[in-house]
Parts: sequence; structure tokens; C-alpha cells
Amino acid sequence: MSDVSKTWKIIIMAISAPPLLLMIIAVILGDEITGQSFKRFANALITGYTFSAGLLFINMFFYADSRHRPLAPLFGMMLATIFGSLITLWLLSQGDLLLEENGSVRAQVLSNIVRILVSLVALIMAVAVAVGGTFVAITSRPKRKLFEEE
Amino acid sequence: MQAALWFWLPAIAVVVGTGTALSSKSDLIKRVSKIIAAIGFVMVLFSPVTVPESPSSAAGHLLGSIVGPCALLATGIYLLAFSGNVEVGKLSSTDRKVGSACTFLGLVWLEGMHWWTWTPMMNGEINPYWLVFWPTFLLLSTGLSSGAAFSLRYLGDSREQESNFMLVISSLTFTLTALGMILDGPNISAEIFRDSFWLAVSDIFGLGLGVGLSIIVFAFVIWVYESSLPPTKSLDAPSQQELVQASSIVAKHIGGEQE
Repeated sequence: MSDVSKTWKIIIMAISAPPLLLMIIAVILGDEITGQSFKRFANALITGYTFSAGLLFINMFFYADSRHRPLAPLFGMMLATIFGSLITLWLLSQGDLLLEENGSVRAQVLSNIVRILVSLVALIMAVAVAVGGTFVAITSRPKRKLFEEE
Repeated sequence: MQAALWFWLPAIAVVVGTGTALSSKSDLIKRVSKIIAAIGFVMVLFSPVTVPESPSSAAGHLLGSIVGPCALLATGIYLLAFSGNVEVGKLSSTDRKVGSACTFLGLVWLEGMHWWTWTPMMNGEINPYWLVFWPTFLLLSTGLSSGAAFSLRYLGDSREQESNFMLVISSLTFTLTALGMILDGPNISAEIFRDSFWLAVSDIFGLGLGVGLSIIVFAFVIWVYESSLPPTKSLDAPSQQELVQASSIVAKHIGGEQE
């Protein structure tokens, strides 16, 4: 295994280790993964796919700009987004994925979108803390000499 | 209809306005987009007043509750980072003190929402989106800070001190999450927090998988299109005459005989 791939594996493990440890603590405290968690997972999966596919569809316009505006990839990505939306609506209309507080498919879809936006705000703040903290740590240290002649 | 007008339309304006402001090349469009995004943001903040009956307005309420501590935290981190040893645009030592105070106040404010009585409450109940935001933020912060610590250690050169600082941040957020699972707060019991924790884990895994799938589909669509394109026409090898001409031009420009 090369040094680079070893380093990346260590970093991915470092990112996953604290959340996994917290999950172990929660299990030790007697929690079980409930059906509600699986419903939330499924809702997040289908909403995340459709939301992200929609954004990538918009991004496809920029790709098309650099390729003499071909229609095929635009059409392909549009189909992928529509497919995601239809699957989302179909799965929600089966009723098994509706969370307790939402009585209709429309309410569940809107609730999923709001939750994804709140999760995105949490992600942005967490990235600000991690990246900002790293910058603070780096710039707080006295300037290092690169060469003895400096 | 009221919710569409007072919450969803402004929310779309925030997303579209921000996206356009970041991607447009025209200064006028950028300025207009920023104004549209700002108006949308203010309208979303006021949605608990304009459409109190809509469940979505709880998101506007949460945004109004966390905008203060998040702004303090972001400002504090910015002031601390740029008052250190930076090559250009270094801020003063007073800014460093202000930055420290902002970061500290922002953290205390956010912690007070869990461990004290500042929890965002709506109609006498905990705002449901606070129970989405808080565990997600803690979980991602502890993971990303730990990732940053190991990146500094393994990718950086002599960055152990900085790596240790990031490990402290990761440990702090880890401890706060673990404490929340064990100890009751005045409004949020340990059991409610643990339930929210599992739901946040489900959200993060679901979102990650969903986004990953869409990226794979995106790559697949581009790959199918690119592979259907005819191969580009390659040029013939240069002739002897072209090579002689090229070497004479190169010879004119090297050697320094004319200088």
C-alpha cells in the first residue's frame, strides 16, 4: 500500500472514529435503533439524492457551456432528477416512510426539504469550526524559518 | 398558499440569490442577487410572525435563534485567524481580543441553548429543528475536527502543535455530545437527546449516501456522453522540411550570439 493511500485511510478513520465511538456509547446506554431512525435514513437518502441531482442538473449547464451546448447530458441529468423525484413521491405515497408528525406526502416532502436545509446549516457551521480552527492554529504559531539564511 | 408566499418563496430566493451571487460574472447581477438573498433571509426569519400556523415556520424560528451565536462564532474565528501571522491584511491585537471574546460568547450562547434555559422554544415546546441542528452540528464538528487534526499531522510538516489544538476541539465537542447523552438539561433530557442523536446519525448517513449516488449518476451521464463522441483527429507527424524550418527558428532564439 502506498504512503498516500495509507495517509488518506488514516484521515477517513479519524473522521469516522469519534461518531462511531459516540454510537457505541449510545448503545451502551441502552438505546436501540428504532424504526423511526430507518424512516429518517430513507427520507434523507431519497431527499438527498433528488436535491443533489437537481443541483448537479443546474451544474450541467456550465459543463454544456464548455462543450458547444450538447443536449444529451442535460437531458440525461434531467431524467435522473425526474426519476429521483418520482421515486421519492412513489415511496412516500406507500405510507411506510411517512414520519409520525406528517399526515400527507406533501407535508413529508416539505418537512424533508426543511430538514435537509437545517442539516446543511449544521454542516456549514461544523466546517467553519474545523477549517477555521485549523487556520487559527496555523496562524497563531510564530512564523517559521524556511531557510537558515533568512 | 400563505406558507408558499411567506416562507417557501423567500427560502427559494435565499438559495437562488446566494447561488447566483457566487457564480455570476456581472457585478450588477451579483449586487441584485445579494439584495434578493438578504430580503429572502429576513422574510424567512419573520415567518413565525407572518405564517405562525405553518409547521415550516419552525425553521425560520430556529434560524432566528441561532443566527446570533453562529454569527459571533464565525466572526470570532475570522478575527482570530487574520490577527495571527498572516502575510497580508493582518488585523490588530485588539481584533484578536475581540475575536476571542466573540468565539467564547458564541460557544457559551450555543451551549446555553442545551444546558440552560435558552433552548429555542415554540408554543411552549422545543423547536423540533433545534433537535436536528444541535446533534448534527456536534457530530460533524467532532468528526471533522479529528480529521483536520490527523490531516495536519500526516500531510503537514512539523504541525504537531496545531494538530493537538484540533484534537482538543474534537475532544471538547465529543465530550459535550457524550454528556448530553448522559445528563439531563433543563429542557432537553438525556433520552430526548439520544433519540435526536440517532436521528441525526440517520440523516447524515442518508444524506451522504443520497448525495454520493447522485454524483455517481452525474459522472455516469458525462462518461456515457464523452465516450459516444468521435475520437479527435490527430495531426500527422512533421515532415523533414517542417523540422528544418522549426530548428532554424529555434536556433535564432537561443545561444545569445546577437546580444
